[in-house]
Amino acid sequence: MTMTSKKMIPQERVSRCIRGIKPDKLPIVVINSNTFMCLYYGVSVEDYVSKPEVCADVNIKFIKEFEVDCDIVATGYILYGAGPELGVKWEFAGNNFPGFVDVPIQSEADLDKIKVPSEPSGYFKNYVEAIKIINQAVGDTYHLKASFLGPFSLVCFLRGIEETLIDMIMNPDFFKECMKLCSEISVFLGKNLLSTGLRYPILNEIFLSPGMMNPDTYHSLVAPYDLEVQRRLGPGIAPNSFAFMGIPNDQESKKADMSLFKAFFGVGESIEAIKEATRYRAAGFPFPAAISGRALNSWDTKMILSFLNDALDYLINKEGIYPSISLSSVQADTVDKASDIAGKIKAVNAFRDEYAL
Amino acid sequence: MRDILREIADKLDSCDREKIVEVLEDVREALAERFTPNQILENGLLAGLSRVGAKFKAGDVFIPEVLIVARAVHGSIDIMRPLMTQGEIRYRGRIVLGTVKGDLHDIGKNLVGIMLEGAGFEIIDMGINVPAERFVEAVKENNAEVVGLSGLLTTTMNEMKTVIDLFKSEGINTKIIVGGAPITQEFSEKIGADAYAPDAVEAVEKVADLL
Repeated sequence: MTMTSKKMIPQERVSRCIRGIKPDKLPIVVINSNTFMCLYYGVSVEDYVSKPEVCADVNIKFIKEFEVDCDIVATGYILYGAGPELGVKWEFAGNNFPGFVDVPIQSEADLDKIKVPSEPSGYFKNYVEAIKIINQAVGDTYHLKASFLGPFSLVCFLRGIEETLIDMIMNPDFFKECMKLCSEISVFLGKNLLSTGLRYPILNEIFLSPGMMNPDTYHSLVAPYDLEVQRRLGPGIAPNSFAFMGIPNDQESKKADMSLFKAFFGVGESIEAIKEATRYRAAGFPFPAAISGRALNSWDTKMILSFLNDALDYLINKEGIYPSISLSSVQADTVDKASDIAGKIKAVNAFRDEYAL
Repeated sequence: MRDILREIADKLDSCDREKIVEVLEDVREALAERFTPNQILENGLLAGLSRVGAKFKAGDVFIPEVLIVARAVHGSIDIMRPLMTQGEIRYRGRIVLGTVKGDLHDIGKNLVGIMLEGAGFEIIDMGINVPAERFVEAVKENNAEVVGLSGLLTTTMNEMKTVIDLFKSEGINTKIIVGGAPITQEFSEKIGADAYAPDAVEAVEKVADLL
């Protein structure tokens, strides 16, 4: 019996793909969303964010029911640390997940009001508790990840996205003061995620994407703070910021990272983007054959599987890569849509089981 | 002789912090030199904003640069506002913009608004989480010619169909353009939108086509 005919646990499957070694079958990586889980499992958004046991329960159910190998758990921006506990005002839009509508740093004088927490509280405390429960239940089998906010994204939550982007140019000294404070908060958030037993949290710069700002601006004004947070958490602990801004002074890498962004999130579901991105990796993840949230919502199952088949055939046969099948955003707006998407995910799972490596 | 309106446009186009800061004072000087608000707006402010829009489309500048230029333009308009008489500003059209119900994201919508203003359109910004009925009310109250619907979430994109269906059921023929991260041309056609724009710059072209 060869190594690859033995059934592997999800962690091993993911690890082998990251290292370029053939697994028993390709792993499924999911960036799950609270909207889907709340609707599919019949829990309210309020309970999801307020009751760690409820949040944990639906995440564990999802992982087991859909047999995913790697899941980014307990998703929900309100949970990530920039909540009312830091003075950010959130608004729940009906039964939808909330968005932030008012910020505590309206001027430079407000910066002193923001303190680095000494212990988790509010929604973030619920988040930490939920992750602990999930990790204890399934963390020795499944490859689990969770996000904590990076400094730039924290500044955006505390100051507002537009004001932050304007400050970068018009008031760079103030911007740097904000980033310095938020680096401390980011380290606090990351350490608390590590306290759950989760090994490799994601430093999530959720408000960054290629094309949002000049990559040179990112490298001079944002990257130093991300790197500092990563350094303080320990080498290799939180390798990602998902900025996809390439390497400083390397135009080619910036273009390639744009392609990797598209490949990672399934933007446009393009084999061309996949081809351009294959030389690069998001640290801690296998190379993705990704379906976007939009496609998962609007494509029928046949179209989804057809794209995945083409992507896998290319990556495995032409590039020699063992990718993950990535569902980069699992969202739903109604119970019926959640059921529909559940069916598609199970179809993807069945396809994955049958795909001969 | 100093061409102050051209200077205003050039300073905005530079996206340089030091020069942007000077624009407000330049606008005051232009008013003192008896330029009308409309002349300053068209030949100085919007001329500069339009050039920045072209650079944004080409990928030469990014969102922060567009925002600082827009901020300077809006600040300049605030200076001129007391001197503007009714109907002095000749707009190319009136657009109602909003993020659909259930969605609290606005940066994409705001960028579209900036670009449309730069192109000479009047914007009625409804904000975020806007129910379909409010779009209809806004169009009726303002005689708007186009409605722009924005959404970032996969879960709220179907709300755009709700808005379009409501306009149809009320017999209102206002053109509707849609956009946002999860939106595609195919989706926009499926829900009966009149146009789709993948980015803020193309939104301007599509709106102009609709009018």
